[in-house]
Amino acid sequence: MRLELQDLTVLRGPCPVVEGVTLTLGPGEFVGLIGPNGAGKTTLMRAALGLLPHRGHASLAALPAPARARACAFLPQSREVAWAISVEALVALGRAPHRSAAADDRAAVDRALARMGLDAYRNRAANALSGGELARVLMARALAQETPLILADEPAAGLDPENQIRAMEVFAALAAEGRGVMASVHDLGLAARHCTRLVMLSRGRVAADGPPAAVLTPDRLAEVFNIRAFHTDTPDGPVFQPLAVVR
Amino acid sequence: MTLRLAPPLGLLVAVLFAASLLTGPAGLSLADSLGALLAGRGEAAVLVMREIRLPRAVLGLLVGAGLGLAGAAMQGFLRNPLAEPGLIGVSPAASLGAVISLQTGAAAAFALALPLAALTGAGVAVALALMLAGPRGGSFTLILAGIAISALAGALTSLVLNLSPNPYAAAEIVFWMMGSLADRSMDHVALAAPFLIGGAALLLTTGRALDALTLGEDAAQSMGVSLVSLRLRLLVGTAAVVGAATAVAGAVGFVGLVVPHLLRPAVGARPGRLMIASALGGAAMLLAADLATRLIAPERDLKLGVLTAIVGAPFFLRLIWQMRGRE
Repeated sequence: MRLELQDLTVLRGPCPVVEGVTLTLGPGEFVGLIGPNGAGKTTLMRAALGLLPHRGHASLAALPAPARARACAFLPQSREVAWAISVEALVALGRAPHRSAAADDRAAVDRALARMGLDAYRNRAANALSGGELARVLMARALAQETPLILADEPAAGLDPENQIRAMEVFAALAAEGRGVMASVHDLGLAARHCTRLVMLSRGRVAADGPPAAVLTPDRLAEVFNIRAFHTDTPDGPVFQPLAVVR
Repeated sequence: MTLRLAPPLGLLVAVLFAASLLTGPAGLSLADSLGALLAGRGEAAVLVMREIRLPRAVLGLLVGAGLGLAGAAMQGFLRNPLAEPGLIGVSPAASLGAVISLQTGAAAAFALALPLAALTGAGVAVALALMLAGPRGGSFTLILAGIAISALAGALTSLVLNLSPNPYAAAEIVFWMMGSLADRSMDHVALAAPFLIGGAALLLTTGRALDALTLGEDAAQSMGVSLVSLRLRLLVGTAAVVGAATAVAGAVGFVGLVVPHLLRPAVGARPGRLMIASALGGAAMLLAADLATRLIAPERDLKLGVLTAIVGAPFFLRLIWQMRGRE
């Protein structure tokens, strides 16, 4: 299962927010979607899922809703939980698209809870958790959906360093297992270290697409992000630190 | 958890339903009541049981269950514990229809003119709400449309009262608006039941979608929920239930607001499960309130809507007080 976007354009009024984006996301890839605020990262993901009217082709949006829900899980940026449901019940919501046997559903929920280290949280009320705990619970919900593709909108935003790294490591591990993951990331240091590939958006268009080192060049950082940065390879992996605003 | 909650709530409803059948000014004995109802013994007793008490009890059951269910569904859809089924303007519009039928004398000329006019009002309100909010409109637009429709229907109701030819007509309208199940016939049951049952069946199909909506609209859609279909089922179901309830019982407030709120912790706060529990809870509350109107002051014709509000509002205040303590 691959995500394929062909000449995807999303208009807000007469203005294109996403314009002519063509990209694919395949098994084994952890794609970091980067770009400054307003570059169209969220819009691109929502349109790819068919949540927004768009022009061009999006392979997921073309599927009927139940099939799409079995093909791709989505983690929206807002971590909202309306009711005081238990963590276990929340994670089990991810099983809704599968009309599978109750025992299979339970096994999938158990796997997702174990993977996110949430076994002890099963009966806690989901709306009384800390931000980091809630982020893990919502991620477990997406895992329980057991889809070949996962799209996540700023999964690391608002988390402490430990939880940020854990989130990125889970996504990287899922990709290593053969799933396709795309996450929008603002922290370029995290993106450089954990993603297999980066897609840089600028004003709704793809400015660069490739391995992190090839995308995060000084010229593009200056042009797209208005910053310069320290970027080097260490025995501990790539280190990327934004330094100053240019111009 | 519903499994644990359903038997006691169901039993409570059954007991209250039986009590409703066995309570009344005719002073029939238990044996006479049951004999008349089930075997048709005793001419006057049969009339009392089958034509007066049975429709009243059945309507209490159906209207209460419908209001509880619609309240739970609306709160789940809007993800707001303060939502109530009349929010989209259905109950004020149904009241307006009823008031017009009282004012024009249609209600006096033809017994079912009033409930039919009320159902028409409810239908117009939901069509207007759907039209104003559009097929993809968010819940926010829907609430605003509901407020506008409620305000308009309320103002028109006041206008009818304002222009009413004599104080008796005005008094009749005011008393009707307080809500009651007294003196309803099997014709009322036959008219309201299809809407109440059909609407409830439609609302019960939304359980899984409402559960998914706990995580927000985008997450729910990515889990396969069609918001357009959900909204249509929810609005049409609510309009059928609340329109029919208002048509036969008048404006009975607070059941759809308080009952889901009260039962939410007992079902682990899951919107799908809450609907079934709230249907049972709503039936119990309305049957109990209707019993109370007959027991507290039988000679004064205490109105049902007044009682549910008098019992419901302090109860609600207590819940708010508890909520405040937790924050």
